[in-house]
Amino acid sequence: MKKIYTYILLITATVILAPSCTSYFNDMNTNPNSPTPTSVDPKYELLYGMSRSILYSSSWQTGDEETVCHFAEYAANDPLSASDYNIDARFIQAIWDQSYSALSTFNTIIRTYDGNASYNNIVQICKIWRCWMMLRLTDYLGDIPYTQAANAEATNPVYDTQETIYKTMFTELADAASKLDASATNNIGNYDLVYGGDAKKWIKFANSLRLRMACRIADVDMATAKTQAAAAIAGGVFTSSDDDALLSMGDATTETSSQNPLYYHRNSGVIHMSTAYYRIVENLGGIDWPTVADQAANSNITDDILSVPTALHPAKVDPRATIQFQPSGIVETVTTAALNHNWAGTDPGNISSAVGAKMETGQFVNDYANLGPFFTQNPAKPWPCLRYDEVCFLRAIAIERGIVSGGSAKEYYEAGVKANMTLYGIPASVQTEYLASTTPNYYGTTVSYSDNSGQCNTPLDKILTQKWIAGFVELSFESWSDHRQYNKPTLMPFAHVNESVFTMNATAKANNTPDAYIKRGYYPSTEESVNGTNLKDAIKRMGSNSIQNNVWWDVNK
Amino acid sequence: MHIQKNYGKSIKLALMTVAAMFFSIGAIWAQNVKVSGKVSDQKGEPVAGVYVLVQGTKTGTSTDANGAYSLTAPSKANLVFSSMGFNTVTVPISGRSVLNVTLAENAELLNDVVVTAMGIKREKKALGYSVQEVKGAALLENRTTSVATSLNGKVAGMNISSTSVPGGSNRIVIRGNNSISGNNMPLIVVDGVPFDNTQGVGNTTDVSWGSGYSDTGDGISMLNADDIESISVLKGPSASALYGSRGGNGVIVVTTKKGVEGQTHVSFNSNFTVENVMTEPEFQNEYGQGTAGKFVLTSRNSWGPKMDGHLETDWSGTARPFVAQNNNFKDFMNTGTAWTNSVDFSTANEKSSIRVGLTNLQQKGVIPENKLSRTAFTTRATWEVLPKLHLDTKINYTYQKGEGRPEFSASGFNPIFALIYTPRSINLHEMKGIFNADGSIIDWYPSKLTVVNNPYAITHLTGSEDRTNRIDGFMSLKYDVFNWLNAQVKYGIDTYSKDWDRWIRHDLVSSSTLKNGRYTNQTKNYSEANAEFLITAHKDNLFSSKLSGNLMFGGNMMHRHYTSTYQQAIGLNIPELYTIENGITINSSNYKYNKETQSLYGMAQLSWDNWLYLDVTARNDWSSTLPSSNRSYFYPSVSLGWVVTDMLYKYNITLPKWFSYLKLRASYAEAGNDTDPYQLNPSLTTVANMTGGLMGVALPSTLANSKLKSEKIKSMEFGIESKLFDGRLGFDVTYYKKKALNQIIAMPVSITTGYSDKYINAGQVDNYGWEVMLNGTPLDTKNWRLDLALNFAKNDSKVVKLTEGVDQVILAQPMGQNCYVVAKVGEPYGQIYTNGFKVDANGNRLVGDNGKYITDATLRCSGNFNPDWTMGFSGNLSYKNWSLGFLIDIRKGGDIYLQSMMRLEANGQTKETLLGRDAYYTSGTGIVAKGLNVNTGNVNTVAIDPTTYWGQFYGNIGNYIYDASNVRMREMRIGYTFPRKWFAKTIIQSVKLSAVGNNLFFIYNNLPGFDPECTYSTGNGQGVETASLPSTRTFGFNLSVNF
Repeated sequence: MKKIYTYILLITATVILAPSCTSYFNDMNTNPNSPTPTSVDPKYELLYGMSRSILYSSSWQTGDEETVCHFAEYAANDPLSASDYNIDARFIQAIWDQSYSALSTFNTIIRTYDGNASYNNIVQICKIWRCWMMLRLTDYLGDIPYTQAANAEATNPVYDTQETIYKTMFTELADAASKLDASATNNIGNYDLVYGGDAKKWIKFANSLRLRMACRIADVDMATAKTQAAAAIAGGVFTSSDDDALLSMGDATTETSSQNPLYYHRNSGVIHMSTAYYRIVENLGGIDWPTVADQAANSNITDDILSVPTALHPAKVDPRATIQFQPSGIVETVTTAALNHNWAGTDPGNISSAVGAKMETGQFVNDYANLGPFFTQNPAKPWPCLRYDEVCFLRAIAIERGIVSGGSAKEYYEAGVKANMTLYGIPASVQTEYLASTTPNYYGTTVSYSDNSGQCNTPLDKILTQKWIAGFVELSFESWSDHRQYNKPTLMPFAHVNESVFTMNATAKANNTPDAYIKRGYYPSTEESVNGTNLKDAIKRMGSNSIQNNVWWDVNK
Repeated sequence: MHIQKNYGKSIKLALMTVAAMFFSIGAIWAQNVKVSGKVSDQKGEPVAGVYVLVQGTKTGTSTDANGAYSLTAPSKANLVFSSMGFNTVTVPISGRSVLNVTLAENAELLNDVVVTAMGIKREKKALGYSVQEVKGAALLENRTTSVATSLNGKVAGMNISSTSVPGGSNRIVIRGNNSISGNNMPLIVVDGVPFDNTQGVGNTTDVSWGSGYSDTGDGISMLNADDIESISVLKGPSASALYGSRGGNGVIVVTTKKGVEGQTHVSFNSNFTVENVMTEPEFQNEYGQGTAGKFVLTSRNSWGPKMDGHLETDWSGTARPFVAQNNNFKDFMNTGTAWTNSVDFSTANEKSSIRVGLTNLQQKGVIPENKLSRTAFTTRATWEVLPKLHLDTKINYTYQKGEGRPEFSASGFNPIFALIYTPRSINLHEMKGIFNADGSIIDWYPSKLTVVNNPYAITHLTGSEDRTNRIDGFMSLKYDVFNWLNAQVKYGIDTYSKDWDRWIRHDLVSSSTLKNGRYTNQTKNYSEANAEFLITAHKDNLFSSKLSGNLMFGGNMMHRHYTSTYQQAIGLNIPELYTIENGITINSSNYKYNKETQSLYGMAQLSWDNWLYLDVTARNDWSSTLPSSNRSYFYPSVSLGWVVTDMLYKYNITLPKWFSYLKLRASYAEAGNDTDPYQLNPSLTTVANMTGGLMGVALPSTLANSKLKSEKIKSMEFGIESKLFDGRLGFDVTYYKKKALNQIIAMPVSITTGYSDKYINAGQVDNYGWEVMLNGTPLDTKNWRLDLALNFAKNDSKVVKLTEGVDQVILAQPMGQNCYVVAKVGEPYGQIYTNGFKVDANGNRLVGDNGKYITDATLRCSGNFNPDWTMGFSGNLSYKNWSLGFLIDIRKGGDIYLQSMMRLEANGQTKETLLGRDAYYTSGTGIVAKGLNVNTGNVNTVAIDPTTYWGQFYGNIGNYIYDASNVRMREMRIGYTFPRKWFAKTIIQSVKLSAVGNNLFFIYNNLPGFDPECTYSTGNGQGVETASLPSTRTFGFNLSVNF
């Protein structure tokens, strides 16, 4: 009897300890929930990376809308925003984290597949796309990690100077454009959210991006600007709106993070018109406030626009403006009954303590016009990354500034305005009337290219005014950069700034000089504790981490 | 006479007092008789060496090895039975010649037997490390719905905080935090089987706006107090060395009841308590809704006009007197109730025993619609199947259902968050109906875009229900091979499934993601099996020497399997039909993992002449979660216990009579630890339904590490224990020091590397501290007895190093604010860094020309969440049939960020915000902020209006870090045991009725109406409060009846 029990015990013990071999444990510790980096087609990663490259869903609100959109002065006085230049650390963190985690995706694809013929195009697409994405970040902040960023070993990258970044990107764009193979089998398809794997379009995008960059650096390195602009144009830039680089968005049935961020935030009317915007669009083009007849010709004009009381809207206005902004009282309840259906802006720089609370001027932000339904009602509305109209304006600028020789600035200017107006459904007849108009806006700028009378009415004033209107909201990054580069179109120094982050020079404010405006964002505080040495080098180069420091290409012109 | 083992010391004490009284009535000396009998303990085991004395004489004897005694005494005399470790019993002879006595163990006296690692019961004096035991009875009378909360204040060095929802999760930390990014909570073991304590709170790091965390409860809160015989807390790795990987943070060893030989036992216990708000902030009742002294309909602040009865057209659309209303937290809260009923049957003979217990809890929380119910059914049986072959088996089934568990923190679905934004002139009772006549939701705040401000709408039109089915148990067979050798095999399981539904009604919130409602279902299935064997050899007086000892060798295989599914319907086609198929958009995902560890261990327990004890343990683990080269890891422990008094006694050195006992102890131990599954290789994530309905693949944000090693905790402990005056006074002092090394940390790296973190082995966190326990019985007479006990613990920690180039790891950053709870090199664990106001070199605040303080974004250390020290002081006084008990606990220091306070002040709701208002609104005199002008250095003279003054504090986190010191009346109870003679002709043996109260009040609280124990996260980042549910008190009655 005893022996039997002893055997039972011994057998049990053996069974318990039997399966301790290595492969048993290794198999057990292989994650059944996820693919491995080598087992997955890179197109899936490309899709994810592209979709998360712009600030999406809720991060867009903090990282884009509430900062850059206010610095470009389309909007003013969001109570949650950086509209007194005091940028919340989370807003900075949002774009910083997102850019680099997306960069990690593209760099991983490039590292893994560069030189692999079957994935050549996807690799080149990644190279172009990361330039587009990281350009926004360097323009926002100045020196940032780029050449050593998102490396395989997670070793801390140095901060490259903006000059290095621009020059590296010029090379990368040229290289990618030259290597894209239009004859290769398209094995990417819809996983490329911009061009569906169309290599020809990507080549045009790469060149158009080079043109954007070339124009940007004209004040600091005209030689490179000239070389790059010429090469870009020779290589082929966008020639019609069909070439537009539009990032596809999800629809109502996809996960919300893939939906258009403006749609995602459609019920939070936190983009309120600024007075700066109002002053630019009022009277510009000499077109009357829309009527029922205009609505019949253009369904983008809403009933709400038609119902604005005469006292609460300008008599004449840029025809895009009434589509860009809708009157107050639609998504939010107005606080002041008399301002129901008000179509006007509020002075930038006055903030309120909370939603629905009074601003320092005593006004309520919900009493002002807010973002129009044109932008907010379609979850699948593609996000413009670079459009034909911008290319037109860039070419006009390049001609006016002598970056390229030859060509008619006027033609490009007018083509740009028309291409942009067409996007809003503005009838051709109105476009023609608009382009001929010599009615000045608040600052004296008119539309007609040949009319240069009065203040603020040079060709550059016109081009940049039109580029600013065309870049409304979605291209805030470019509009803010243009303003930093040219101080055009004329905007308004903030009525109030947070003294702990921005020292407002009274003279600069009175004279409306570039010093009265924010010049960059600041580096996120997380970098201090994890990449401190490299961060300190960058800050040392730039003098400080202040938002009043100029980035490389900005010479306070 | 036969004394039933029952619900604890106090009852026993009372019963014995009753018995002694009853039998001593009319005692008269008569002729001598010969009396003999047997003395046994509650388990029926004979007790040797019991001193039997004829009361009032010097005649006496003591029991032999079989517990037998025999003496001659007057037939009407009383016999007094006393023995170390047991309560003294006095029994009248009443002419009997055979008198068998059962002695009840006294936990506070000598020779305690405690449950140690692997469920091994050992004499406390033989241990070289500190173990603290809490008897099951201590959890019952002053019952709370969770065993964890009942342990509060009872164990030195164990800190507990909870999410304050019924059945909610608890953060339990013993002797400080070891781990930076891993788990810091002890392992829970029930009858030798690990019991999963996964937290029901989703977040462990930060909480952002409305991210919707709520709490479905942890493992320990599912334990049924009625089944618990005792809880041993093994505090350090020495004590828990044999639990290996999982015991590094201490072990809570729960032993459940089983049948006691020779006794058939039936009892019934009923406990009913009511619960209400114990503390809340002090509100102002003078100014109502509005801004800048004016009434504003859309304001969520109380900066409006005076509530002096003038008429205002408010949200109802009618002009009504503007007066203070019923809108304190407690006006919204209900009176909660909890009713627990349990029955307990057990019987045993010399071959077998069985116990069956059934307990049911029905609880209604203080938050409307919040309910918890739990039913536990357990059966334990032992059987000597064949000679020398012992079977022991237990199966426990628990069903728990939680309903209406609120969301935490700054969530739009946290009713407390809504209350923080409810102006003082709003009457909550008007919201109670929820719907207007036209079916629309009543809400004084018109925008239901992202927030709802009617708290009743939140609790009624959103909901949650979680159902957990849990089975745990074991079967073990032990065979006595020889009288000195036995072998045991055991198989234990712990498995549960949790099914969690949450829904939001279609019309509650209009923001894009919540419009049309939402329904979420999550299920989790967890199972862990442990198979083990243990061979034990025991030999006394080895080789005829004074050396005795045990040698054990064992092995364990642990296998864990987990699966979860998540389904969400965003937007519902058909309103109020909460199914996944009804979703406009449907998201779903699932996850699974397997993990296994295999272990071999050995232990030697040697004793020399019963005064010197040496324990040596060694264990080797093999974990599936580590790379093959580092998979195996070994760790030893050694501990020494030296009972000085016993040694002196053996060497015939006489000590003063009052000096009963002195013991010194020392131990050193290491414990290894593995990690979670799948940390070694990069794991990509599939993301379904992206643009075009296509699937994307995301790269990991944490860089995997294929070279991870096991973590290690090294600890040292020294202790001294003494008992004086026959055990009437005792103390126990422990000093410990531990180092947690080689931690597996997801170390933050610059996101510019493409990763946010990377797994590395790094870091060192040291903890060291003191624990002091004092207990005494200052009063012990025939009718009176007073027991007092005090425990004190002080722990200090230091983050010694992290890794090259990284000086801190963020444990929490609440809502992305300028508040970071960190582990920073060179500083204690859990420092709270915040922004604040700019000050000059002398600490004066600097004021701008506008009269406002100047914000300084530079982070500075504003506190640390760990208390400086904690103390528990308990007492039990009994007089005849009455007993009175209390437990006070004290927390000194430890800081907390009260985000609620910041919001309440910015909203003008609290009492302080009255400052300057009367003056400003009557005469226009503003408030002058105390400080120096930043430009001139002169004292600030610029006055500002109250709204601006109070508004400037918002976002200046440093201003809202408070010292959380408090003194709390944790428990009180008063009980009466009905005289037994009342039930003489019934089957009832005893009845005890008690009035009980828990968490009754603060004797002192440094926080303005908040309780630092109410948290919203049980993660490592503590010291942050955001719209926490108020702390509640409970009081009620407990009735226990024994048959």
